[in-house]
Amino acid sequence: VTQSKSDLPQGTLDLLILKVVLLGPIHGYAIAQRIQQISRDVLQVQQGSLYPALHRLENRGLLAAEWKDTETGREAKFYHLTAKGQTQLKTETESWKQLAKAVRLILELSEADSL
Amino acid sequence: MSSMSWWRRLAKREQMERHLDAELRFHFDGLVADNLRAGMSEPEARRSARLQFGGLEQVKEECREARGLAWLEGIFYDLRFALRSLRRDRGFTITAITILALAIGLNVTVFAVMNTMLFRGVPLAKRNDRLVYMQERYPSGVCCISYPDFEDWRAQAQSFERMAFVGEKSVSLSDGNGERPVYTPIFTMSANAFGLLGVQPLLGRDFVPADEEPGAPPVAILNYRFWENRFAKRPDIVGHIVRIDKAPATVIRSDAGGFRLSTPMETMDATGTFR
Repeated sequence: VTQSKSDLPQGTLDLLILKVVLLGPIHGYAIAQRIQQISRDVLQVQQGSLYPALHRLENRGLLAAEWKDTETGREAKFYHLTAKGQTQLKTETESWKQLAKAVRLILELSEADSL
Repeated sequence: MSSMSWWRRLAKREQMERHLDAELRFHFDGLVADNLRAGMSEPEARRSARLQFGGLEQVKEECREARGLAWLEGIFYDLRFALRSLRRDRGFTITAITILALAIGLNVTVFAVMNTMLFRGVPLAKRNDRLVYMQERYPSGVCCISYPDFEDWRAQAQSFERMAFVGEKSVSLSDGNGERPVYTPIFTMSANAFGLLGVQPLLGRDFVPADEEPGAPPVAILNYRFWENRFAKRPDIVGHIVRIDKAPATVIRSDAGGFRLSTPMETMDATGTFR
């Protein structure tokens, strides 16, 4: 828990949101919690960036939303992935993996060089 | 991003605001509940949640922006797409534009006519709200009332303060010496017509009932434009002779500038009493 909290790189938040929402309809608060839990508290999502991102994704048609009751009986806005969102998630995941791989290659190379 | 969705979004702006508020409140309450579970006191839990949450208004503004900008973008793409489609299908575009232009032109013309005839009334007339127009309908359309019919109406009608007759005919009109005749429509009218409309003469006198008597010398009133164009606004025009279908008529006045009867045509060049 003493690990420092990392800021998310530009553009990653959208990808993480899409991935979490893929698991099933979920409201904004739970999305933030889920990302924090799964990343073992490394990634903390600020609501200041979470909600604008959600609205942007909804507006682009990647997410759709519905007002439903939670387990506690209170109404909340539940997001789910649209077909367009699923396609987007697939392509973005691919390009993220490629990017990560490329960055790693470079980092490992420079380590070897400095030795 | 279709045109439908941005239109709907505009209409549902208020609902969007309500939902945004509810959504953020839900999140805030979730933070408070978590803090309580972690063992904080109620005020402490709220204070901490507020700190975690940051500026509520700022988050809202950014959400609106996230929607608003995409909304503008949507319009932009729709427009670009529309222009591209129009460019691709030239034939369709030209046909559509031609039809629209014709339709708009026709509408403007019809409206101009209607506006003059039905809505605006007679310019310079004092009480357009008290004027009524009467016409007769024939199978071939709406046209002229015969003068004897008008005299019968005038003798028997009781619902009107006064009735005046205005007819129209095309004549050859020339200066006193018979030179430079023009073929032009003129109004023929009962002597009381200008008085009824409340239009004052610029020069000379109005028609009087005596002008209507059989055997009375024919008289004419020139409109301002004709007086200006043909007689260079001669101040001694009153008493001058013009020829209407070669028969002499004495000019008794020149009309006030800008006077037009309720006809979409250009102002008539002259007005003679009905004979």
